[in-house]
Amino acid sequence: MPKPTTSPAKPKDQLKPTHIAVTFKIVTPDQRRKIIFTLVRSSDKHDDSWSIMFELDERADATKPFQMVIQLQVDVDHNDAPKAAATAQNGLDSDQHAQALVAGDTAKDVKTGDATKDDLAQDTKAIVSARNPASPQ
Amino acid sequence: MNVVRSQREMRVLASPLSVPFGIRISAPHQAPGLAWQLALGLVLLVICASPAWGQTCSQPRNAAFYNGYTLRKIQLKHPLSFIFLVRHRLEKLKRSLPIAENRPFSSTAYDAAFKVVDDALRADDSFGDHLSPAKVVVVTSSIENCQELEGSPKTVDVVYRIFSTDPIPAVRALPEKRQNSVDEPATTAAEDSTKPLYKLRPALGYEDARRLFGGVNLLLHIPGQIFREAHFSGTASPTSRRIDFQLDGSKTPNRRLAEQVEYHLSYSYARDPVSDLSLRKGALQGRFTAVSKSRETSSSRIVLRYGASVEAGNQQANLIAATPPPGTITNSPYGAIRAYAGVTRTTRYSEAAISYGLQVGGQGLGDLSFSKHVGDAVYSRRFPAGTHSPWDIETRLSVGAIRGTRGILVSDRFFGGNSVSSFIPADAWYIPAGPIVRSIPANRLSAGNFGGRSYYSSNFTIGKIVVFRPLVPDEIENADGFGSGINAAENTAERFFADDYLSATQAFKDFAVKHSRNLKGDLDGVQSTLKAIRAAGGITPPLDKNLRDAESLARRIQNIIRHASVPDENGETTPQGLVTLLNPTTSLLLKRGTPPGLFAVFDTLQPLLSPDANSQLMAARASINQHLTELRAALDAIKTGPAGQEAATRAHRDMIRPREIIDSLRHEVNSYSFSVVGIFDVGRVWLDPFGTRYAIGGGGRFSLLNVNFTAGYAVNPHPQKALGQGRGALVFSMTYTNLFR
Repeated sequence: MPKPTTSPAKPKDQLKPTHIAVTFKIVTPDQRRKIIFTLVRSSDKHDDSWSIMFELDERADATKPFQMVIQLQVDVDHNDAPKAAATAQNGLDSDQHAQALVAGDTAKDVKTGDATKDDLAQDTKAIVSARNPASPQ
Repeated sequence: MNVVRSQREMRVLASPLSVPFGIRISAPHQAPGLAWQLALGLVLLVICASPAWGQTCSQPRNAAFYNGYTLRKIQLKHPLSFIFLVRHRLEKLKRSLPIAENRPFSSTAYDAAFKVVDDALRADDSFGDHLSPAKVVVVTSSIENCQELEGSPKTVDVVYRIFSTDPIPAVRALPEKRQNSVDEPATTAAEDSTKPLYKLRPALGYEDARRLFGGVNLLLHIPGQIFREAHFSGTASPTSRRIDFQLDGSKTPNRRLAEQVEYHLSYSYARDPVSDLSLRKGALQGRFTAVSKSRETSSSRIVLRYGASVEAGNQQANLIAATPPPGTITNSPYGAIRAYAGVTRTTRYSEAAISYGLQVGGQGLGDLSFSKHVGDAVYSRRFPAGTHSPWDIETRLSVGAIRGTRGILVSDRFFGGNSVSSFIPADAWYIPAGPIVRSIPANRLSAGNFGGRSYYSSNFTIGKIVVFRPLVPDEIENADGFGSGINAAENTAERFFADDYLSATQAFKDFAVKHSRNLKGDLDGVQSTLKAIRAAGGITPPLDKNLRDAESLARRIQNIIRHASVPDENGETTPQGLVTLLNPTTSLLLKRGTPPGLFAVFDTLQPLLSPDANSQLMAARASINQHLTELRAALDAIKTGPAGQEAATRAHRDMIRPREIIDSLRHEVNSYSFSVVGIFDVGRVWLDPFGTRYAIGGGGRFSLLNVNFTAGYAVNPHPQKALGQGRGALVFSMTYTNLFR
């Protein structure tokens, strides 16, 4: 039987994973929009790299199943790595939330021809960049 | 509703213990049927306890270093992996990975495998996704137990650690549903997803009074609008017979006082030994139970329950020598009308329930000659908070009385002991119909052989966890990025909710419409100017490129403005989008660098344009800047004003429970634990010439998640051997711990 534990492991026992993925899924209070945001940190012998996955699901009626509007995965610019780390540490701030919603709208615009896939990629990548300097870093 | 539960509601006798092919235990206020899961869990825990390989890795974050090593073992560690369904899924997932045990390790395949695991866990919503306003999943992948020494096979292990806030239903269901999960936690979770058409399960057990018994439980999902399930259970022993058949249906009116209504039609037959008697009772019953919407506060939730039943049948007792008390009917038709109500209040660390039941009964529904009243109050609490090894107490006070001087059926009189039947037969809602004194075998506290006309009992149980294994092991809790990831997710959810609430206010919508109109006018002007420049001709390649950039940015900004102010086909707008135009880092207007924002493109265009065109663009820029300044001021005002504060408060309130759940999962819930338990009971039946009875005892409790299995012994200080009472009685119980509100 594993030895019961009563206190946190000592720092020397801390794992050093090569990959960490943190996903948060949020259903908006009106139950009509679901946002799934995943931050992945991958480490190698040189440094850490970050990627984000953004998914938006919507439905017209809270009793109906969600329909995926968009799912996108983009790599975070190396320059934005500190912001990605801050986001993984403290969560998305309001500016990033607003940018995520814009990316969702752009995804819909791609379907109607009002935006391009490149627009969408830029808007998605900007989710991390949009972090407000006043937010916890 | 399930068969085990309905079986429990028959007149339950001493310390029954029953599981398929094993031992079955039941007790006064708990449900049976979990021992096989406990056994399974124990076996798995022992398996998990196998010695670690114990090697360290010199380059744990450099997967490529281990290319060519033999991949010795792949582990997917999930806190709920002792549950069959979870374990089964993890094994299936493991088989689908692009890496395999005993094959050469490849860092490329290892990277790909992580994505497979993360995608699978993120998508897996089988454990209550539809109930969660927010869900957090953390997955880590690490290289461990590296055998790097020369002269021996070079091997490496890959370990995935997984945490998800989707717990099994048992840990967060409504109080009236928890019992079902307590009965069968693993299968309840599985059946939520799979809903098999039928379930057949053998039953085997032993009780002091019933002796060894066996039988079968059958559940059928049936088509139809009125009833959805049919349950049949039958068990027999040399001294007893029990048969139950029940049809279950439910409706969801979703009203304040009746969020859900369950109704049942059942037939039950029981022949049970009671002291020196053998009681037989067969009855047809119709019943409903309603549950109100829960009333939520920041620290508690309150649920009202109520219901009624009508029952008719026959009851018989085989009199051997004794004479029943005056007015007591031992062989007759049987009829009863019951009404019952109760309130349950749960907080994070406590649960209190008060129930009252009224029955009018007699020799048939046309001859109701007596009334029966029962009351029950339960309070339980854990302390201190935020620990894996808390103390816990549970207290219960039960009272009952029969009013009437004639036609009191013997089967309705009060019998007590360490196992007592429920006032509401075949329902999960347990109101004891007799005194609970755990040192006396079931039905042996009986005021002679024929039961009493009034009673009280009070029970006190105290426990302390002394050995435990946290649900989220330290190795996960302390993994780099784990705690901060949870924190990030909680903060994100709260901000999302606050922003959503704010953007849904009329004040914010008015704000969006006003400022969208201003900016749209500006952008319309810019687009007209750009169009005029193109129409004027003389477009050089550099000018063309910059014009295209400007046109693209203007179009995208117009899209943001449109989404902020014009409802889409679902009537939705995204007013928060305007906020992005203020962000100097990412704004399509203000951004510098690559790719540039519109103002930066204006700067590039300036030497390429005529003074007149430049003048128009500069005027538009000034107007946009002015409107952005106004937008900023208005946004700050609305965020710091009453609407913003209300939105923030509401979001904070919304996240209290999710934060509590996550915090409990991390810092309080154990995958298993062992506690020492002390018990003390006092109770009395009138007219019992032997007076007040006591139980003093103790024992041990094994807990799997929030399901507790207690075994102990309670001493009877004043045993009455003539009534079949010994020096004490074994105590068995299965309970659940209220881990969340």
